[in-house]
Amino acid sequence: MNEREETLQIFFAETEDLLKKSEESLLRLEAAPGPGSDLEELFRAIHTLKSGSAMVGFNALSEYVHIIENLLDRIRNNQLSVTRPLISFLLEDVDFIRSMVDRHAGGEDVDPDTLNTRKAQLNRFLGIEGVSGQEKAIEEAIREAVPDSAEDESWRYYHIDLKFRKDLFNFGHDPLLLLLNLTELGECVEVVADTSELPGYKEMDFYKLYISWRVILKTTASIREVEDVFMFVRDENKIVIEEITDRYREGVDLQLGEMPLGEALIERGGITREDLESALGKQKKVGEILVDEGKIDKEAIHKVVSLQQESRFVYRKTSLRVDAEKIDCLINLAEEIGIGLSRVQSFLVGEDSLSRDEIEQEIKTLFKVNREFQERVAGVRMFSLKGTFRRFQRIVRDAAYDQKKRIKVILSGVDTELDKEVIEYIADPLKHLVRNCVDHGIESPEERVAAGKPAEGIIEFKAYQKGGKIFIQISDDGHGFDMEKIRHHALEMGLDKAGEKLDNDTLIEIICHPGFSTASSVTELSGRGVGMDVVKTQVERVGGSIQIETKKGKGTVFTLIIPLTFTLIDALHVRDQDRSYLVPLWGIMGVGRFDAGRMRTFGADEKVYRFRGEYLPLMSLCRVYGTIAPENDRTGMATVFLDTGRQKFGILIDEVLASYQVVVKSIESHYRSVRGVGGATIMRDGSVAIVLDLLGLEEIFFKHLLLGGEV
Amino acid sequence: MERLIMVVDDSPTFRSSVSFSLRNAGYKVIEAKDGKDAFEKLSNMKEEGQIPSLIITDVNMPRMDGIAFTKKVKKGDFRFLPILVLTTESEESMIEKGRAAGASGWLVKPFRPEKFLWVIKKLVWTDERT
Repeated sequence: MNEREETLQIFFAETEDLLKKSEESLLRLEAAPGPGSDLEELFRAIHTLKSGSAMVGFNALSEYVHIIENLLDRIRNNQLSVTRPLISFLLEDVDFIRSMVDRHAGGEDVDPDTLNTRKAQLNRFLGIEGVSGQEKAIEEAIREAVPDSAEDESWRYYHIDLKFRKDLFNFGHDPLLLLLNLTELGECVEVVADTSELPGYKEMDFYKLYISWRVILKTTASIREVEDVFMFVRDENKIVIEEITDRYREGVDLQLGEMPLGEALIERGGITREDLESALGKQKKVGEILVDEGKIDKEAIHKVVSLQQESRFVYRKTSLRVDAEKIDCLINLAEEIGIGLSRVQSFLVGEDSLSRDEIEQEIKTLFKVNREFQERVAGVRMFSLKGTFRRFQRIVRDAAYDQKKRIKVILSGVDTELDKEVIEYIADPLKHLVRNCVDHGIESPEERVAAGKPAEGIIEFKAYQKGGKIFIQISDDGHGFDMEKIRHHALEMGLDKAGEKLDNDTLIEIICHPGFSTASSVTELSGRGVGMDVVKTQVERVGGSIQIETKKGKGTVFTLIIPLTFTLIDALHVRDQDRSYLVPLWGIMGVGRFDAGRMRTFGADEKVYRFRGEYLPLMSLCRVYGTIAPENDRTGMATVFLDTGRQKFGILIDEVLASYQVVVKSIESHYRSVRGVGGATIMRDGSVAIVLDLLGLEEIFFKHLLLGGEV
Repeated sequence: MERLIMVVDDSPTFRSSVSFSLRNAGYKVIEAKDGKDAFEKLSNMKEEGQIPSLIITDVNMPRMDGIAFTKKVKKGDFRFLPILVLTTESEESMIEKGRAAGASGWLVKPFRPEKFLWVIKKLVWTDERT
């Protein structure tokens, strides 16, 4: 006897046993109808029979028993009462099942007519007309049991973020096995392990998982198949799978992807335009069909369609879509520059005799045109924050729903534009802040009402431009930070700031410390205290900074201050100690000759200077940057008065030169990031000038962080 | 090396057919008829220095059910073993209970052998991958 036969023999024996038990239960049930131990026993027997028959491949039998099981389930839930005809029918069923098994055993199939008649009868008991629904459900269940094969064979790319819980091993899972399962779907083009959470050898618990992974998978599989790899770990771990085929260029015809199917078919599939048009003429749009059927009104559809278009536009990641108009304008400007240059050239080679004034005029125009050109080129990369904000709206909605909170979202300044690259950099940090607001900021409706606030919380996204910076604010009207808790944690982590007043920077330093979290419960959303540190680094990478204002019981405001662009700024050229500096124009309130009479000294060495009726703190640039200055001789020096939007102050320099538009080069890529230095540029005489970072300078000054010497 | 899988179910048909698919796929199988039996067998295996690669257990069983059994395993030396809990459509809430008890995965009965082996592969290393 082979193993298959052996299994069958066991099945027959068990079935007989189960049918006998069913008979007994049915008879007892007839005497005492309704839910109870007899019904449970019957249910269990039928249930076991269903799995058993499916396991040995008797599908017709399994399907039939499945209907009986449904019926019994309804009795269990008091949706169906036990009647004499029902019991008789079920008793007949026992015999019918027995005959089915016998026929199976003999290798015969069940007579389909008898089967269908009985199924129809069962369904009548269930209150279902006909059998199509049932059969469909079963078919679907079976189909679903086997993973989809790929619908089409083209390559897809997925970005997969794997952040497992530290106690993953306790659940019998192995991350390596999961990664290997992934490779069965395709090729992991990129695998990056994040080991930053790994503690020192002595602190390490070997039964814990400290590593997280980021994978880019190249595969033909559908997103469902990829998700299925993580089916057992998805719910309790942070696993984010995103299809990025659109952004992943390799081997993908982007244009083809952008075309509507019909157009693509004309291009690749060999149909003619006439074919397409006649087909399109026949087909109605989904929206039209829905409107015709009265399921939705036109306006609602328009609204969704326009949102869709907006989102598609904003989120086209790989390629920039630029209005033809913008391009035309650039071409015109380029032509103008060309014409201007050839005029200057013709003068230089002596073909034209222009006066000096005319030449100067020509060059001035050239500069003007060039400037406009540069601005417009930069403008091509600018995108509004609309898409980003809308996505947050969705995140808030979903998260609020999950946590049973009520949150209203207010958006303002959605048209504020930022460099596309900058948006991509800060999207994730912002997302994290949003989640923080939902998870830790806004209280539950009950708590809010108890605190005398409206049950519905408010999260506001706001963006605006001020000076050369973009301010992005995310605020909530929740309970604010728990300062006591933060102090406590700071002490625990040895950040030892507990004695001091918690000002913005200290607060940021503490909450952005890796591993910091005051949340007593950890949610799916904002995770486990990893994140704020990442937020800070990410924002700093684009030259931005974070501010946090929090009031107990009133809420928290996170402000991201991001430079408008990396590259082109207007700046004032100044000289100090034979060094060239460029002061960004956006921060300059005024410039004046140094007048000792307007200066007052306080305390040891605190100096203020009167400017437009205000006393402003004053510092010598040379001392900030550590170049030595002769202490007393300040005659002939100049002062530049600055307003960063947060603070006003003055700097003392030797000489003010002229203002220019300059291209700022990062010094980070060549050297390292230096506080107070925004970059450098090459002046027209070939010398290098430092571009001041005013916010950094302000920090140095007001917090007495010296680069060399004291201020 | 052959991977050893423990199958815990009170239905002999079920055990037999599951074992059949597993053996066909190249696994070694040890059967147990309920949680109590399974736990005793595990303890013996420990003494003999055998370690199963996976435990597959039914939920609804006499003497000791699958959830209690899972909890018990998760407290002992075999706590890092993956456990696959088998439930039925009518017992979906058991998935949650199983998860809370420390189960690694779940599968709703009845299922096809293909699906079954596909799930097993998620939880057990196979030789070609080591």
